[in-house]
Amino acid sequence: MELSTPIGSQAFELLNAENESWLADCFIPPSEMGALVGDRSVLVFGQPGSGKTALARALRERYAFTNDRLTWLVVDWRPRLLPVASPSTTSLTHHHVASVLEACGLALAEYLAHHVEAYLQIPDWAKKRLVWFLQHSASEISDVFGPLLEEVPPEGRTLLDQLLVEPIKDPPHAQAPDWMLSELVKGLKPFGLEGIWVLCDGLKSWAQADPERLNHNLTVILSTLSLFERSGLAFKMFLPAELENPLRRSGGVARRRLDVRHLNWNKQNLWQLVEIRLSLALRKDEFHLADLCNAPGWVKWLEWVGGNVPREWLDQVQPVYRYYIENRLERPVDEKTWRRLRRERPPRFWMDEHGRKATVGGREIDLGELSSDVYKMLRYLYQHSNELVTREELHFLVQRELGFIPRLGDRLYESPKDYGGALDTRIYRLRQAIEPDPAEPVLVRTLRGYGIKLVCRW
Amino acid sequence: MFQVSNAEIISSSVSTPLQEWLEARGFQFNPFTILEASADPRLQRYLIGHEAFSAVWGNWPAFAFAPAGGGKTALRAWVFQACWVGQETNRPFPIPYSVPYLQWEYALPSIDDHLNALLLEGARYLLLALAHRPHWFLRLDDNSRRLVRTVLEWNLPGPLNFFLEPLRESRSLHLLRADFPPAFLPPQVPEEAELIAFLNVLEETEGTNIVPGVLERWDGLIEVLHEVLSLPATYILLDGLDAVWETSSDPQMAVEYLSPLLPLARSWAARRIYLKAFLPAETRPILEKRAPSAFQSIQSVLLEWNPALLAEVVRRRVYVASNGAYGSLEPLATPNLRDIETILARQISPLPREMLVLTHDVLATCAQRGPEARITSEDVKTALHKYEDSRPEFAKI
Repeated sequence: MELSTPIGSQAFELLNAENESWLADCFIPPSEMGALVGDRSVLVFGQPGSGKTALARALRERYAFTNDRLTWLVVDWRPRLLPVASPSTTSLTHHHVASVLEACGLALAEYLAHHVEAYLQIPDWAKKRLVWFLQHSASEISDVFGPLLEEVPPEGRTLLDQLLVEPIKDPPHAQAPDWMLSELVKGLKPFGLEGIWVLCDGLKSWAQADPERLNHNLTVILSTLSLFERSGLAFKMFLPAELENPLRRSGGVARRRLDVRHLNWNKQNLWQLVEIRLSLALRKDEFHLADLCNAPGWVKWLEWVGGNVPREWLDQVQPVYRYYIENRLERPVDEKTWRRLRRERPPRFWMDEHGRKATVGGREIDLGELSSDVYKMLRYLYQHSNELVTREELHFLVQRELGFIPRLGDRLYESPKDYGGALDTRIYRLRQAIEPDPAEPVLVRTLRGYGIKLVCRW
Repeated sequence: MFQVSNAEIISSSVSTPLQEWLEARGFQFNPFTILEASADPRLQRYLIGHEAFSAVWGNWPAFAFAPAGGGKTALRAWVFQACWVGQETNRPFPIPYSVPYLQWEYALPSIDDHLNALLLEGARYLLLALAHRPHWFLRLDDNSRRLVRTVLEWNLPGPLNFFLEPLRESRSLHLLRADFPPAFLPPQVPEEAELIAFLNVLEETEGTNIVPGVLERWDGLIEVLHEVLSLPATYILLDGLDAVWETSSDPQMAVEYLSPLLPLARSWAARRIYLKAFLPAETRPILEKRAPSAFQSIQSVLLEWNPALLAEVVRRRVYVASNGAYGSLEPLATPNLRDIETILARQISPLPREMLVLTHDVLATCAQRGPEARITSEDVKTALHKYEDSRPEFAKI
């Protein structure tokens, strides 16, 4: 099997699409792929690890091409967010549209710098449009294009140096940004390009740090309909799932100028995704999950813990794969070893107190059904993640909410014999709710004689 | 790994089950994918009759109100196309005018802002018209040609040559047509020789470099349309008032953007310029209150739909896309789904765009079962469930 990059032991280490140079070799398209390409603008929502960045990369590196020829100029754009209390939404709109123009200008410059020969052969009317766009795509030309000039080939730099200052005969005078974008698309046609894909990804940190600001800014952008009505210009935006509801209010989504898609992976895709990565990593034409581990519960465990999130499937395969290669096994990992490995590397656990839900690996768990006693206990354990919590704490501080642990002889003291049974029942119910395999817990661990610990990997 | 096809039927380079399903039934294209009427090059082929047309078509100013997705743009395109029937200048000249928010920087527009934007659109559509009907220009005397050229030079968003160069080089109109929404293009392009003759004569005609003020340019444009070209009237087809967050979230603000034009409607009518505004339904009560006299003097109509009309929207598209092979979806469904279009229409808010979305979802659901699958009640149920997830707030029943 020919690889563009050897991946070996790295195959399951990074689990981060930005840094996996071999990703294209093991990319499996989700069922929505057909709806993501082409000239429609689309918002793709997905939870962490669902493959948004991998998909953005696939669009850029594979689907922007037809028969190995670039068909769509790909523009990387990330909005520079302004505070919610901006002067007006009109100025916010102009701010973001200006940043789209700037990103398009940069992508155009990079493209031209790598296609000097082709540029010299396109008609004059197209050259005029491209040069005019380049010169008007940013207010501070040298600041925007300076760093790029350092990176492009010498002949590309020479061309750009010339184009950025070249006088244009009969230039257009109107500079409405949407009109400029149409002229850019027209100027690209002689290269055989259909148009432009503006890719937007990597807003997760904003969604966590200041969701209100992100929502507001995106709502304003996505309500600017003329951006999404231009032939040959399509936005492909990859967004955290929690933004979906607020962004449905935006004019572009409500008026169906943009499609909304959710990244949904079916079990078959996920199996395929893991197995193709295993085959690549091990340089085999075919390598199945059962070839890696033959423990009876292994696949069921993967399906439960991985849910429909690719990264969590890969995360659970990682320790088994590592054990397999480090020990140079020629037969599958056995059940006993796998059970040990999964204890050592349990699924990641998050708790969303606001939404009263938890995430175990790639599976979301509704905690609404939990009794308030059990929920309180989980919250306390979560607040003390990876710390040993004694049974006394759980009873006196959490269940009875005393604020201190009474000593023998105190009026409020109770013997462990009196509350132990009820506490064990709560622990049992908690495990039933969140453990992938409650009979053999990996998250809520008992340290006999000491207490319990909620093991959290973030 | 992926099927790549250039077939007209698909809008992407990756084949989907629905595309295969439609192809298997002989559909030439998917008539339910383009949800923005102005972007649909085949719109006029499947427009269905609606009584609102008679309220808008005629020599009077008119307001057509509809909620988002209620067919405003389609009605506007219908009026535009009605202006383009025939080859002669006996029909009104249409200037589609989408409120150009991105052209205006940080303030509400003045009358001059609107006029400047209208002049720009007027000149663009005049060039488009002349390029499609060169004989309108070629039969003029030198003086009249000069007037036409002057008006183009005054108002186009750049030197005339900037727009003529691609036409001359490609010897066709396709690059010019790409600048306009597909539903707002004149039918029939001229022979190449006629186009070249037009370009040559237009280039030889002298224009002027002196650009006067906005009112003089406006008078110049109207003179060229009505006197020089002998067009009987000009229809200004205004739309897109809710095309930015500021106006889509606040109809009061939308009216603010429109209000500079309202006092002009009556005086324009005296000069055979008729404002036809296609407006969000939410602006109606505000306009009634804000400009009662203007409102009363302008014919207004609310674009309304019922299940029978919506069912017809789907049937007509099926007929056109299947080249007449099917008059409805019924032959493609299981026998228990009689009159499937009406069944669907009754499930949604009466808006054509939502009808297209739901129909698309039903077909896509059915196609998941293979290219030969027939539409079942279960498909309708599943699609409705999916549709509920995407139903916009304003389309909630």
